[in-house]
Amino acid sequence: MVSEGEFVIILGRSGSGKSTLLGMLAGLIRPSGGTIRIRGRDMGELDDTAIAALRAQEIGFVFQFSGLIPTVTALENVMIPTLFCTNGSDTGSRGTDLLEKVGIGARAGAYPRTLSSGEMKRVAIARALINVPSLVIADEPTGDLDVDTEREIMELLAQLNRDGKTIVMVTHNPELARYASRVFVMDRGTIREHSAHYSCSCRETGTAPEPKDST
Amino acid sequence: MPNQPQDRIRFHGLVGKNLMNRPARSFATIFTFAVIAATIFSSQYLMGGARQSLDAGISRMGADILVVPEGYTAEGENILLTGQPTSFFFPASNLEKISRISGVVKASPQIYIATLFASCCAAPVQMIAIDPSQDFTISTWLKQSNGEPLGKDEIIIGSAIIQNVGNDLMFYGHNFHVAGIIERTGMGIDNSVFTRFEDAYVMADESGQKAVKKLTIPAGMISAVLVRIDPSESPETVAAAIQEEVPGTKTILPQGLLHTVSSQLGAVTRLLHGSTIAVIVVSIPLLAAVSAMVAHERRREVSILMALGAPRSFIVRLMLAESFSLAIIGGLSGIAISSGILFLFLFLDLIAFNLKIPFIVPSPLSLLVEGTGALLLAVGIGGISSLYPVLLITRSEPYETIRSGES
Repeated sequence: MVSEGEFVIILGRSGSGKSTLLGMLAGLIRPSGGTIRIRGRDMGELDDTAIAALRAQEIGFVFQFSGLIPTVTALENVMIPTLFCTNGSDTGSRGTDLLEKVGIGARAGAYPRTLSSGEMKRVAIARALINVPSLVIADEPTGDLDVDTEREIMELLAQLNRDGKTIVMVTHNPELARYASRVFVMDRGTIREHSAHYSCSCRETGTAPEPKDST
Repeated sequence: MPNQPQDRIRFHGLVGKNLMNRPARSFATIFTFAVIAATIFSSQYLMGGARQSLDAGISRMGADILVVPEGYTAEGENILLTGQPTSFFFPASNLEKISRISGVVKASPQIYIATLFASCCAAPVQMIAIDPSQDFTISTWLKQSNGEPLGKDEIIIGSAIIQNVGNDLMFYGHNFHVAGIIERTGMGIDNSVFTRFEDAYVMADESGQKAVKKLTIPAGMISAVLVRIDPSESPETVAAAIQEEVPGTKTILPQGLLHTVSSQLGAVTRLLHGSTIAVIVVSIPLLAAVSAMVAHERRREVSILMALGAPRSFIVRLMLAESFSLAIIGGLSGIAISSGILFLFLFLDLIAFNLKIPFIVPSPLSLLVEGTGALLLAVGIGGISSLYPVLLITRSEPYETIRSGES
C-alpha cells in the first residue's frame, strides 16, 4: 500500500514487470488477479470510461519519452488533460504556474520540437500535475536523459514530493533510489520491499540524501 | 482573480492545430474532398439546370400537344429544345381537322422559317409565323410588351437575341420592328423570332428581289399546330386520336420532350454520373487508406491521450472532427470553385451550346439544395472513410503502444 505523501521507487531490471505494474496502477492494463484501489475506489469494478475518468482526475502520468503532442505548444500540452477531466473547475493560470514551477515558464509558447529532452520532461511533469492528481506515476522518467538533467528532474520530483505529492516511480537505476521514502524491487513479476532505508533529510532540507547501510 | 489570463485549450483548437501542423496531409485531403464535392455539385447543377429549363419551357408553351408532319418529329423537338432553324410543311387544312377532334379546346397554327442570317446575330435564327388571333402560347411569355396585338412588321424575339424593344431587324431583306421579348426559357424559343402570317408571306414574296436567297412558303401550308386540350382529357389519348384521324401527322408531348432531352442528356448524364460514381468509388478507399495511415502514425499520440485520461469517445470525436473539418473545407472549396467555373461558362452560354441541352441557371433555392447535398455527401464520405481506422485505433491497448515506442 502506498500512503499519501510517499515517494515510492520500484527498481528492477528490464523485463521484470515494473512498467506492467505501473500500467495496472494507472488502469491502463487490467490485472488478471488482485485488487487495485485508488483512494478507496476498486478499479476492477469500473468500466473503461470510468477508469479513464478516474485516471484523468486522480493520476498524473509521466512517460519515459515525455509523450508531448507535437502539434501544440508546451502550455497547451500541459492543458490537454483539462479537456477530459470532469472536475470542471476553472483552471485559471494553473498551466502557466506549473510551467514556472518546473522551471520553464519562459518556454510556454514553444513547440515540443524546439525543446530539449530535459525541457520536454519538465513539460510532461507539469502536465501530470494540471488536474491536481492524488498520485503521480512516473515510468522511467529519466531514462533518456543525461546525468545532469537526470539529477535536475529527480530533484524536481523530490521537491514535488516535499510539497505533498504522492509519487510512484519505476527505474532500473538503483542510484535514484536515494530520493525515495520507500523502495521496492521487482524481479520476474514478484515485488518486495527493499530493506534499505534512506535518510529523510533530502525531503526536509532539499539536499541530496545519503543512503544508510542496507541489510 | 478576474483579471488573470486564463490558461485553456479548447477541443476545436486542438482539432485546428492538429490539422494546421500537418499541412501536406491536410491539403491533400482537402483537395480530394474538393474534387468530390465539385464533381457532385457540377453534375447536379447541370442536371438541375436542364430539368428546370425543360419544366419552364414546357410550362410556358401553354400547349399540351404539338402536331408536326410525319417524319419531322425530331425537327419539331429541336425547334422547341434548341431552336435549331428548320422548315417543314403540311396542309393548312389539318388545322380544322385537328380542331374537330374530341378533347381539343384550342388549336393554333405556326409556320417555321429557317433564316439565312440576321443583322442581329452571328448565326441563323428560327422564325415562327403565328396567327395572333388564334395564338395562345407566346403572349404569356412576353417580358416586355407594349400591350398591343402584334402589328404589321412587328416581331417578338427570344431572350437570346440581344436586342431591345423598338430596334429593327432584317430577315430576307425585310425590315421588322422588335415589339416584345420573351422571358428566358433555356430552350429553343430563346433563339426564335415570332411574326404574323401575313408579314411572313410578304417577306417571302419580296425575298426574290431583296434577299440573297429567295424564300418560298408553299401556299395553303403550315408547319405545325399547337393544341390545348380539355383538362379532363388525357394528352396521350387525344394525341393518338389526332394521329389516327389526321393522316400524315405526328404528335409531340411534353413527356416525349422529356424523354428526348433525357436521351440527349443521356450521354452527358452518363458522363456526369459516371464521373461522380468513379470519384466516390475511388475516393472512399483512398481516403480510408490515408485515414488508416494517419491513425497508425498517431497511435502513440492516441495512446498517450488515453493514458492521460481521455475516454475512447474523446478520441473518436477528435479524429472524426478532424476528418469532418477537412471534408467541410474541401467541400465548400470545391463547390465555390465549380460554381465560379460553371457561372463563367454559363455567361458565355457554352453549356447549352456545347452540350446541346436546354439550360437555365437553377434557382437560388435549388443551388442551395444542390450545394448542401454535395457538401453532405462529401462529409459523409469523410466520415465513412475515417470511422473504421478510428475505431480500430481506439481498440488497441494504449500502454502496449506507448511502451513499444520506447524500445
